[in-house]
Amino acid sequence: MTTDLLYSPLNAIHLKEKATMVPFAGWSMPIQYPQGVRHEHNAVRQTSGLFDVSHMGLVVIYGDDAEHTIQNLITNDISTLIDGSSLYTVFCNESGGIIDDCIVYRENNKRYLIILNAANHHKDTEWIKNHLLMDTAFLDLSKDTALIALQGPEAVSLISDLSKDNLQELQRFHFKKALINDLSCTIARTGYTGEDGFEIICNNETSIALWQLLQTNGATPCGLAARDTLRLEAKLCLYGNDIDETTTPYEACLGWLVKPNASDFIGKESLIAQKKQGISKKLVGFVMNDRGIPRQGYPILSCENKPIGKVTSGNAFITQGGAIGMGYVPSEHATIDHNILIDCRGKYISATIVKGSFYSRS
Amino acid sequence: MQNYPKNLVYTKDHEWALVTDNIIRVGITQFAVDQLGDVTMVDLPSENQSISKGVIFGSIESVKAVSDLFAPITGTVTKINSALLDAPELINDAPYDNGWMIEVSIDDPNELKELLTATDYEAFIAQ
Repeated sequence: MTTDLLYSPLNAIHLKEKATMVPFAGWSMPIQYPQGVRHEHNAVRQTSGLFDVSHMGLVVIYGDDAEHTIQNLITNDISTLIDGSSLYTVFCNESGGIIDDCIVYRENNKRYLIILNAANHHKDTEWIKNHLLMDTAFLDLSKDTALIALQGPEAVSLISDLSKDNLQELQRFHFKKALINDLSCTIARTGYTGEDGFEIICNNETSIALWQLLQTNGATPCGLAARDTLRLEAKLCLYGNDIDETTTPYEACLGWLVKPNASDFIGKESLIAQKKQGISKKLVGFVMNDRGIPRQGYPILSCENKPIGKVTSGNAFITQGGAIGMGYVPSEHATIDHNILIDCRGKYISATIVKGSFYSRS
Repeated sequence: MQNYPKNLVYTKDHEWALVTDNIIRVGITQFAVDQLGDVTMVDLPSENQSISKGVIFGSIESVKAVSDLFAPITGTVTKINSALLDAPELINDAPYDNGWMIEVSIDDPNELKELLTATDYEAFIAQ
């Protein structure tokens, strides 16, 4: 099957910057710029980095029953949102398997935005359309809007210097309309790197000037490869690697996204039952004890050399050295400080299961 | 273009070799480095280990992927660049200099004739 690739409104800038472009979820996107992943990764940890994530899906659900429509689709509790706040959540199927993870933004109780994974865009939009309640409508803005992430310890000061909208006061997971210089956008205090920062929605025409402005003011352009190494260090799940329809939020350590007290949602009964029975497998994070880099698909073994699971994500631990990974193991093995083995192309390398994220900003 | 120094010989697996008497020093080319991106780990053989032309002698990991390293020649490893074990980024910084990997004493000097000149190698990667 050949399909035409979609191009980000920032494509010309990426080409000018000599980024390596790769097809990703139907889009041509920058995987890295000439100075390389390590440089970009460190910029986000130490100063600030700029990501084009315009490939991600952006949909609007609006109408009198928008709130109920969304609550039926998500495991988190939409009633906790106020105007201008957002939450991270998952869509589940009836058996509790994760259809996608996403952020839901409440503009008001009749209008919500949802940012979706690019790879799931078609599946999600079909799922949403099939579950729209009466008096609710759906708009897909994915191709008409750009999405830019500005992440890193200097993100707040960088943006504050360019805006009179008190963006330094914006709370985590809150968003608002703002002007950055004279560029109109919607800006959220969210991200996918383990750092403070913002994700900025703007129209395609504005995005080029906004990108250039942020870059001129010191943000380092970063590609999807750095985004992946950064999110891994923060132990943030990547859909398709660490979560999919065969895994539930409880298994993926995302149980905090399931709110059984929320109004009914798809998958609730299955999830309540699983919570009661207990889970048989669990997503764990591990640190390699010896030289070896875990990669997706590598077998995980018990210390007795028995296969117990597979690596779902892994790479070098760029910020602190060594290597880290994630993967599902049977619950009896999923204890902190428990040792496992990773089969790195025939070499069994010891690893230790650790608690929480690998990297935490100070 | 300084990408492929004239004093080195090359393989189609994107390694270079510097020949000094009966010893060759081996590393990977700028082309390979560009393809790999940031190197995060290297696995090298031990000293005194025998290696065979065209057979895997180690591996190199980048953020992107893991790749095998193929011996350019048959011989015995006399020295490894142990600095790479802690600082694999030397390969990105200076692939022909501090990023060298191993030194090998050559079993059969005739094998050297099969290695490519800089001009041949550049023509090969331009294909």
